[in-house]
Amino acid sequence: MSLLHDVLKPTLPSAVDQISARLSRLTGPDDLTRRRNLQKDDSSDDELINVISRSASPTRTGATTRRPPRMLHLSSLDSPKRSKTDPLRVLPTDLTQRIFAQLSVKDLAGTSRVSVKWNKSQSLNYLWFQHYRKVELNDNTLPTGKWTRRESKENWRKIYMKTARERASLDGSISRYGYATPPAMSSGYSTPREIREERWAQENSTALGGSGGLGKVEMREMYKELGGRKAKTKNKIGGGRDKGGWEGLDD
Amino acid sequence: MIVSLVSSDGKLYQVDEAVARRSGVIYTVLEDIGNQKPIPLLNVPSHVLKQVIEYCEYHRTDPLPQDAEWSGPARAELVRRKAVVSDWDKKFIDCDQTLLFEIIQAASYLDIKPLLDLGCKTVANMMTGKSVEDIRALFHIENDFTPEEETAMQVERSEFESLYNIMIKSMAGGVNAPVTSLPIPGKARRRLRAPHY
Repeated sequence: MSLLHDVLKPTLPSAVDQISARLSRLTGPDDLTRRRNLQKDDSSDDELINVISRSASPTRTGATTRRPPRMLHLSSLDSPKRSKTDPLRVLPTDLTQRIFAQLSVKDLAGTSRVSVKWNKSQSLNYLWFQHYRKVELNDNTLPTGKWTRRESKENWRKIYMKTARERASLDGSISRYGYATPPAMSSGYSTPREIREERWAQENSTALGGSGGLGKVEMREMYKELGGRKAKTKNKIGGGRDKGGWEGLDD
Repeated sequence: MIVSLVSSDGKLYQVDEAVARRSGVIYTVLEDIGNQKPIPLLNVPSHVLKQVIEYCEYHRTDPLPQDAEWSGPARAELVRRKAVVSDWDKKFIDCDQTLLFEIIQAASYLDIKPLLDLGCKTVANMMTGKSVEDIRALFHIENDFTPEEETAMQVERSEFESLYNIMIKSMAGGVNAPVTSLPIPGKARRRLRAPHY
């Protein structure tokens, strides 16, 4: 009995312990996992929040500053809003160009206001490029030309309108291909160097004043009068500061 | 001679050779490998092919672009046909937009130039003289511009329209000419090249 008691006695508390341990094991792990899960949730939430709220995150902030998010091409293929009868979406580029090439400039200008897609469309831009070339080269029978990569980056609708505005402001007083408007390059695009050269030519002609406008025949007459001698400063013929043979002739 | 055509969904169509030769692609195929096997047309579904064949049947006696000389009665006839759309053609092409676009694509694929021109012209005519809202309604396009963009465009528009009247006067009808034109033979094109400055 005592032996049994002895045996039992130390085991009793341990049994109690065991039971309580088992009890705790029954509830504990649950609790623990729940708590761990909670913790995990928290941590993952934190991560997520961090990602979202980080101000330096480029994609988020970039998108908000640009334009409200629009439908993406791939994700919205089955969207009911997407038009299945939009010629610019349904037809390939060469066919849309064929179609829109038949429109007048006025109608073509209207098409750019239909939707963003139509506004940004490269096929329509290409047509504006063609219109620009035709007007600039003054030739309606011109075959359609190719454009370079650089030219394709321009907004030819805007350029067309701009040149049209300039031409209207010239009001026909200067010939369309006079020196005031740069002679059209074959492609309709002038390089920075060409622009600069044109500006120099313009400055030159204004600086020279009247004498700059002397024609070939008049110059020849002048040389004849000089009698074989060369005028020292060709540009200043008739100018006040000229000390050449001119003065003698004038007197 | 009968030519067999197979549409993309596997339907077999048997047409006269003269009808099939309206298509530049089939013309080349017949020239190159002859009329031995059915010709598979992988990009043309049967309901479109049926329409195309109907068109070709009606126009089987027209001069072919391949045969037409650069100058001559055949070419003059082609030009005339291009300029004036016949009543039959008008009726033929008067279908719903989806089919119309499919016919245009098929005409492009099969290289049937008169049909392609007819289709493109029809779509262009649907748009000429229409307001922006009309075009949107016509093709079921939604207006996805922001208000700021809209106002910017309105400014540009009013500016353009005031310009347009001046432009018409100064360019003697040049503005309204379509950009497409018939190809110009080499000699004339050389003359047209822009001079070097």
